[in-house]
Amino acid sequence: MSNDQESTALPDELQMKFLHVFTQHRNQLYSYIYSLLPNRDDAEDVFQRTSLILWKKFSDYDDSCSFFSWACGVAFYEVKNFIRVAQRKRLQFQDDVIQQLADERAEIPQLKFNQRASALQDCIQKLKEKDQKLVDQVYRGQSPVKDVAEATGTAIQTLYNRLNQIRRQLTHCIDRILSYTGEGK
Amino acid sequence: MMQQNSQNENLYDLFGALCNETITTEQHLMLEKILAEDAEARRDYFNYLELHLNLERLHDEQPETEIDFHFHAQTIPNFQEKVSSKNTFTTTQSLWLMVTAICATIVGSFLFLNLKPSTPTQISQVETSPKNISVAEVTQTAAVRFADGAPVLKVGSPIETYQEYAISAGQVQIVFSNGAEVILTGPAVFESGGIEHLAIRYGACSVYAPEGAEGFTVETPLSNVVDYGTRFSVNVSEAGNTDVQVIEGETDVRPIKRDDNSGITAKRLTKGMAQRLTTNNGLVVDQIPFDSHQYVSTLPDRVISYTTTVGPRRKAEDLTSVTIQRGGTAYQYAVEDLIGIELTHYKGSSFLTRNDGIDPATDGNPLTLRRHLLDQDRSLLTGVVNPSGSTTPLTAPPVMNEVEDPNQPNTPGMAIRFREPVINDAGPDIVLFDLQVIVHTTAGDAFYATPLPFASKRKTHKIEQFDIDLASPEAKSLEKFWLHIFNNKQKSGISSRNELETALGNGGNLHIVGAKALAVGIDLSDLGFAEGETVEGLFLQDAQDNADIIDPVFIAGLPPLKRPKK
Repeated sequence: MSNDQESTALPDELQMKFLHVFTQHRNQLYSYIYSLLPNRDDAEDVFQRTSLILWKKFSDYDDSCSFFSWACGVAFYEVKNFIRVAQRKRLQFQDDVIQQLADERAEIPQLKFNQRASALQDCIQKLKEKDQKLVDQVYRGQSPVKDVAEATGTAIQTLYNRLNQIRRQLTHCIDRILSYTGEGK
Repeated sequence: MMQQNSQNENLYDLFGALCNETITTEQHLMLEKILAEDAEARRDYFNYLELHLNLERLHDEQPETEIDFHFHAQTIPNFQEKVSSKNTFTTTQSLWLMVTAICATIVGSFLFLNLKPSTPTQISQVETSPKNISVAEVTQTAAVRFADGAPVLKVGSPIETYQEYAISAGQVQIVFSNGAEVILTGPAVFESGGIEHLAIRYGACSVYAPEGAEGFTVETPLSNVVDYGTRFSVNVSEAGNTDVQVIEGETDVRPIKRDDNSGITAKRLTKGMAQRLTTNNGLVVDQIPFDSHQYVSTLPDRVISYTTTVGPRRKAEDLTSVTIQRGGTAYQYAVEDLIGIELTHYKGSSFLTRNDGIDPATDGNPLTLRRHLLDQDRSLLTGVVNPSGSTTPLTAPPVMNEVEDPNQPNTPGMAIRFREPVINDAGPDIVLFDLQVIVHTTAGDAFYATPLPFASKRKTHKIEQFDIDLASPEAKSLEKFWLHIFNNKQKSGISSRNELETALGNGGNLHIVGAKALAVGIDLSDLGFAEGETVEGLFLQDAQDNADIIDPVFIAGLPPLKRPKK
């Protein structure tokens, strides 16, 4: 491991550059991986592996190309490797669907997602108080839904259904805001 | 239609089950089939998953448990041990660790420091009256001020029926759900009764009613101006007198009859016609000279709005995008698409750090520099601030030695170099964010901007009004920050970029008084550049017109517009 550590050392200037571009694109990269492997543990595992590979291989990166595109290329093969090694312990999409999702997800301009993220902040404030509280508990508190259900004496499926409705409501709200500004979906 | 709705319901149920991690094998197969066949479903899938992640990211700045984010770890293997030994960490926490550990091997990063536990803040609920329906939305504001007690409108605010709004200055653009666009210029008082109606009690408005918005009516105290697919302006005086100017298409001006025997009837106005309605012992209608300048087609080019991450107190931290109108068109730029800068000279007195107060010069990492607080992060809380200045613009090339020569003192102020030349294109070409304490000048601190390299044919431009100023509804309140001051007792500050990195600071103080992030666009045309010419850098000086000094926290160039220039 220590040898590996030495071999991964980048010159200072490259280190700074890596920090700069990786920080810019980390959420975007995680989203890309999650869209191919929509399970938290799996996506996180692949994200970590991908990040380390990007770090090690950064001296090969041609900065005349998009960092995100380069990172997606690395991530895509890590997703495929992961699925092969994991031998489908969990439900995963078939290769051709993953390929299709990967191609299309990488092509969507980040600006579209930034606009949606911005609109989301306004839409959350339009939720009913009890829905805001549920979002708060599940997403901020990161409490398992099971714990929230126990604490509130609610059936767990009821909470799952409610979360589905909230996310759908937020999706409609975001679409409506963006349609006002002509951005659409 | 019902079948379509049912399919959508089904699809969203599948998305929900996926995000809840309760999806069954059968549901998974069904989802896979839909995604394989339906491009629209794939688009909805990406948006839904991004929403799910964004809900988590909105709360990323509010960790529940204390995580040690000091940068002792020096290697990636250390990071791996840390992650593997804490396999109960959530995704968010592990992501932070991932990034943080990598950063730790690189710099004692100032980018990720505001991570101490905080008291969670409940998301506030917006109460809306069930009687009021939103019929339009504010899409832009420019230098707007609101009358005392009137509702504050910002970009995205709904316009509700039967709610009176009053602006005392500036402009607001609203777009109705039928597509009608209205620009109101203050002072103005207005109210809407529905999606095809706007009552102007006082002030000026310009209306563009595209196809589909025919029938849109502007009601004034003396008339109803009914649109038939057109552009027109309406100007109402305090006494209720009304001027109507038709720029394009046709409009009916229907006087409000107070006396059935008046004999005054509706009149159709076409392009180039204008009419004035007044009262003088009854309603009087006069033709007036057409004045196309009464019609406002767009708001001025400027910084319209910006978005940020939010911190523990749900206030702004890091810039994520900025929307700027250039040549009449609004463009939203993700922060990573902007042209970065390098701080090349500094003579001043202070710098700002995040709420942890860590000074990059004393964090033990030689790779972190104080200048990076301005030129290598996107935080609106950090910067190299309080540059010295001058009451008059520069008339000679500034002296900018790395170490000050006592025989030739450095010029007060600061200089930046763009990482690539910035092209003079339509509207603003450079954006500057200023941290402004809420009790300081509303318009923002005045400063001079001089292009570099210095040339006598160029101009120094004095900026006295920020596009987004303290009173702007688009100005965001900032999280807490620390102010570090050099030579505070002598009030002398420091004289060079070398001193910026080496001089002893005062250790910093948590700034108690709140602040907002202001923004201004700088047009290179104002600095003497022709369209298409490029600038390499800028020299900035506080205008020293009062005790407050400009605090730049983010500066960037804008990429050139892709459309061909006129």
